[in-house]
Amino acid sequence: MRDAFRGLRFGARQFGQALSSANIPEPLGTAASGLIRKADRLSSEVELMSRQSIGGSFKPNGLPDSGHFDEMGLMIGKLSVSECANLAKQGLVSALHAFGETNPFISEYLCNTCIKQLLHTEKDSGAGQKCVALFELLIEKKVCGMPPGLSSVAGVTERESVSAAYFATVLWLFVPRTEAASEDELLSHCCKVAGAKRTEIFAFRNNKGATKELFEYYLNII
Amino acid sequence: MNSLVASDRDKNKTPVRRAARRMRWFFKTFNEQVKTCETTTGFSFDVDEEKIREVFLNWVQVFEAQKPTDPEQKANYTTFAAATMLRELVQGAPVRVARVAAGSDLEQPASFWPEGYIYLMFCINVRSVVFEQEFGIICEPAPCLADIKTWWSFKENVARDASTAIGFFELFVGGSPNWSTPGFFSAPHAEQNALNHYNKTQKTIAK
Repeated sequence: MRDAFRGLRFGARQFGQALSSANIPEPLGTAASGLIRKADRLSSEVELMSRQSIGGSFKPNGLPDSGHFDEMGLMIGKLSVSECANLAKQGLVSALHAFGETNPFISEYLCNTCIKQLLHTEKDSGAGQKCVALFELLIEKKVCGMPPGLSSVAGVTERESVSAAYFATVLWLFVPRTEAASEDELLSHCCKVAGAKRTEIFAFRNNKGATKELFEYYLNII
Repeated sequence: MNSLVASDRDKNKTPVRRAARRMRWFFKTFNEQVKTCETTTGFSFDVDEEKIREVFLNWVQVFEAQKPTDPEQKANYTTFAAATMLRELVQGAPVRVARVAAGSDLEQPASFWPEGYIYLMFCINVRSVVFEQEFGIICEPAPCLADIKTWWSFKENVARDASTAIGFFELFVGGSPNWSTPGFFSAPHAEQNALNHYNKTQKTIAK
């Protein structure tokens, strides 16, 4: 339901962007942009209300402190599903931004589903295996794409940049926290390596063995 | 300046030999080295973070590709690894001088080529800490480290061919450079350098 409210806001913004680039003649242009601003504000309020009434732990963007991680990376068995999903979403927001995807829609519901499934199948697996499993889930469930009810005209989920953002986020989640570094710094290191390997990541996205090898290599050197 | 890397080592449980193979450590420690050089030389530097990451990724690839399986070669490989790190830094050039120190003396290596000085000191420091931690050896830099003529040659040669940085590194840590194939680890060459170093130390003790 919260995804639906967020989708409303996402739709308003997309529409606003389309209008602003359409060069509508005055006075219609001013009226239209005023309308869009109102719609955006209204949908933001609705989303905030939904956060208060529906609850859930999804917080506004911003990376967490290192307390959620240990030498095995994300403390997946010790944190709640929604805490882990929230971290994944926050990581995705930053990573997508780093890859030039400035207005992506990330489904909170699907983030939750992926983490739940990961916990179910890979709770005791090694970091490399967890990484490849979560990476596949994010792709399969199309976590980054369009809100419920809207079809992806631009094929968001099939972009190289989105695969790279999935890779960077997953790597960041499971990189061992053995040496001190801020989470922002760690994520930007992960984005750097995913950026350097984005073509391979995209090409190997359905090749479990090759993807796992890539993850294991970078888990050791980030 | 060595205390910079050494203090970092003390705070962390991971030995520098391992930590140096992590991007976050390399990134943080290199930036600390730059800051220390700013304090000691009066210069200001701009650091390109993207380039540091790139340098690291290239270096780790070289490191893994040539790592010997023979554990006896660990110490020898440490010097080679630090030397290739210098080559990648010289090639990647992540540091630029933003402000020259007032009254800087061009006869001093740190003023003559400040960026090169940072790269070299960083690599020498990393090698020294690994030697101290892993083998209990305290490294002393070679006298040519302060010789401006060697620095003229160093800067001129690496500008033409970055791989000569490997040979110069060997020179600066008291070894004999392998000028013919500097980019390839050679166990006999490294052993000869270690033997020469041992003999030199023995002579100094005898005196």
